[in-house]
Amino acid sequence: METITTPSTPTRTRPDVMPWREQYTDPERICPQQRRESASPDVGP
Amino acid sequence: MPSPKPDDTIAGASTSLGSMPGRRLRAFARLVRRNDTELTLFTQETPADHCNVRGLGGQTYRQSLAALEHMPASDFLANLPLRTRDCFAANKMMHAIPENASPIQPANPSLHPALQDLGDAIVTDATEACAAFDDPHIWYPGVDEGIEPVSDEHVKLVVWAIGREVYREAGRLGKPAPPLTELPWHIQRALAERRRLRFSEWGIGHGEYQRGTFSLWNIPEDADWVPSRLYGDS
Repeated sequence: METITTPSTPTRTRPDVMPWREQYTDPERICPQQRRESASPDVGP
Repeated sequence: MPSPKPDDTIAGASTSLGSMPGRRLRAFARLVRRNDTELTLFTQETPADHCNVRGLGGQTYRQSLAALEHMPASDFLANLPLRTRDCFAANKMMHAIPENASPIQPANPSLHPALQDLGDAIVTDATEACAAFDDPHIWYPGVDEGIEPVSDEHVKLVVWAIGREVYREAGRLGKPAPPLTELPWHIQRALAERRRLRFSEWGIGHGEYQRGTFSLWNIPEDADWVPSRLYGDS
């Protein structure tokens, strides 16, 4: 019996869209003080 | 420069902590500097507000933290400001997204420098949430236990607030800010829940938020804890 295998290739859910890091600023690129600011301690936990 | 270790003698200058273990110890290490005879605890963001402690010169981070817990100076470490910002009221609290709010807002208060790891953890959670822009079905769980439920209105406020700093910096960094408010709702909810959990992991809840102070002694010791992601500049 012939065995047919389907090759598995990784695909993006949305292949028409660039990866988000190529579109947007990565939050991790901001400096330490800005990371503390991003935590927004003026907003309750 | 290698990371300091808990049994290193306290440095005389600001040091990146790298993989130094200990949740409470790391927070303490960011507060303390040493000269020949005494330690200086920087209780505020600016060098003007500090407390000098004699008799602990030459001790290690671990030794000093253990000794301080039983000294009068421990009171300074029990009432540290949660919010710091030189240029405007650090006790400003925000309860709702301003009407007609522009994505680009003026600078807001930041966490005390001792809570750098908390800030880093929240930014790590936000970055991981951004993977949903590529795949809305990513595994990004929220928090089911250990925190009070987060209301829908608070989720919206938190996600909007987290995005403020990146919006301010995006122009300088060359790409638009990630539109966190456009993430799938379950991702936004999970991010807000994680943020509440992170604050609780550093001993900070609604009471501390209302008072505007936190205690080093309420941060769990977690002697083996290291951040899940190490930032080279913190």
